[in-house]
Amino acid sequence: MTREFSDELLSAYLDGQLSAAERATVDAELAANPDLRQLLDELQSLTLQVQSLPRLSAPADFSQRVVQAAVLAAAEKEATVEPARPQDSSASPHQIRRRVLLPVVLAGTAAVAASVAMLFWRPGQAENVLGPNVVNSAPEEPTAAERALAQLRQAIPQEGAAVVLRLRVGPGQTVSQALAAAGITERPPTDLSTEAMQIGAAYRSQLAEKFGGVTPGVPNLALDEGTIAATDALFVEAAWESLEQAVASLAESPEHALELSPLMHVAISSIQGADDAEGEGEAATTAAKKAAAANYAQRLNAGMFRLEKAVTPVAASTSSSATTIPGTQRVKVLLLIEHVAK
Amino acid sequence: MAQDDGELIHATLRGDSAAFGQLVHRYQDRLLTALYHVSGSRDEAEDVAQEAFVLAYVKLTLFAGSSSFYTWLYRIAFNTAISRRRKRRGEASVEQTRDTTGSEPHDDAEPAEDRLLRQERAAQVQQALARLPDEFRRVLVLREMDGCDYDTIAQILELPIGTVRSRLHRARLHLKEQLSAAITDRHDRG
Repeated sequence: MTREFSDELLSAYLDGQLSAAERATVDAELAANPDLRQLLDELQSLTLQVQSLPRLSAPADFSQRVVQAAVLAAAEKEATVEPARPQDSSASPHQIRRRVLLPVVLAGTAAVAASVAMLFWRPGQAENVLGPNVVNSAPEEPTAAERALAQLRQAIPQEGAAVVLRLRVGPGQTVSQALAAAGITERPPTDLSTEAMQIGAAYRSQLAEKFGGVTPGVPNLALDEGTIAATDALFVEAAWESLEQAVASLAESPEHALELSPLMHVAISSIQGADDAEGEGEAATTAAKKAAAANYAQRLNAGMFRLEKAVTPVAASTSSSATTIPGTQRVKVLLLIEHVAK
Repeated sequence: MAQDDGELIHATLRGDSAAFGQLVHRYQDRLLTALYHVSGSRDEAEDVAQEAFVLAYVKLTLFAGSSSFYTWLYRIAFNTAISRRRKRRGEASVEQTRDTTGSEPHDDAEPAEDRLLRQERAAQVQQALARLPDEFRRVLVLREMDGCDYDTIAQILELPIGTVRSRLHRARLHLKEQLSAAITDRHDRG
């Protein structure tokens, strides 16, 4: 080997990454130097061994999970939160309203701008938010199903708004089966024509206010210690009577009392965009209305949702006069599900 | 006909997230394999890959197209992996977290003894790779597992091309030494 020759040229020679002049230099050196030829052989063998190491395949649902997380992250990033301000003169002082502008993530070409107002409430403030105080005059002990339905009824906001509900279910209580039995069919997670992502983003923003945000690669101890992962997340948009039927069937389990805790309201008002205003989107609007009328549940990536460890039970009234909801009213609920052992 | 990356990127920027799903699907296995051999853990590789794709989606408007999408994505992924590793320094080492792949293709025509020998050799190479310093392992994985040319490696790792060349050679020499030591050690014990 001549003094000028650098053996690092050997790797580049092996990889075909040398200029013609450099290649000629290496060829000449190899012809004259058996040690160098041996090193080249060894490097070649090593290269082949590394190249033959096993390849991995992503899990079947990987791209689906990634797209969900990406859309949600984009929605969170673009959310612009104004300073808190009182809702209106008649509102309870406990009510805080924020205007959040979310990005248009609806699929398709319809120009629909969604402005979302999130109406926060903490479990302890539920009655302030949900309307007039209700006198609980029911003398008899309510059944588990009655209790669950009363909690649900109280949590349902006005039409157009959505609620994020924490659902603690026990063994044998399968939410997706109960929804299916009530005629609420599953819609693919990749269908972005629903408001699931915006509502999920609103919930995550609220949690980030308390525990801090999630930055890739940066551990968030407060979040890790103060919350647990949801085991399932389902966005449901359905007629009230269908959801009521599903929850009633879940609550019938004798082994575990279904527990519902409303976490926040998300009020969404959609404004038709320019296309629709000019009448061009009439057919699309009709199709959208038809699609909206279907009862559906959309599974979201549960790994994106955390639940606070400390749960304060919501005081729920069992009085049927608490809230009357028409059976055909469309309700939107993001169910964050926690499975408990017993 | 499959759309090229540019078409899928434009569709994604117009709000078609399914197009982004196609991009993810196109690169997920390659990226996952590279990250697995860099981090030594399948779970970590999946987490980093997901973070990288999410960051790419969120920052897609910043993608200038001066490099390929794949190179840009890898740069994000490798930076994410480095950042996570820095934060977690002090936790279990790569060797300790390395899980078995169990995903190696099985060739029915190959005699069992040959297959065992080959698997044993692959395990040795994998262990030796895991023991390399991070900067050597990264450059080696990009070259050998992903087939990147030097220019692409330089773009992904943001290094001068001369550094890529010398680092890759030193990485191979290190790996050769590690494997020789492992074989000697095995013979001494055997």
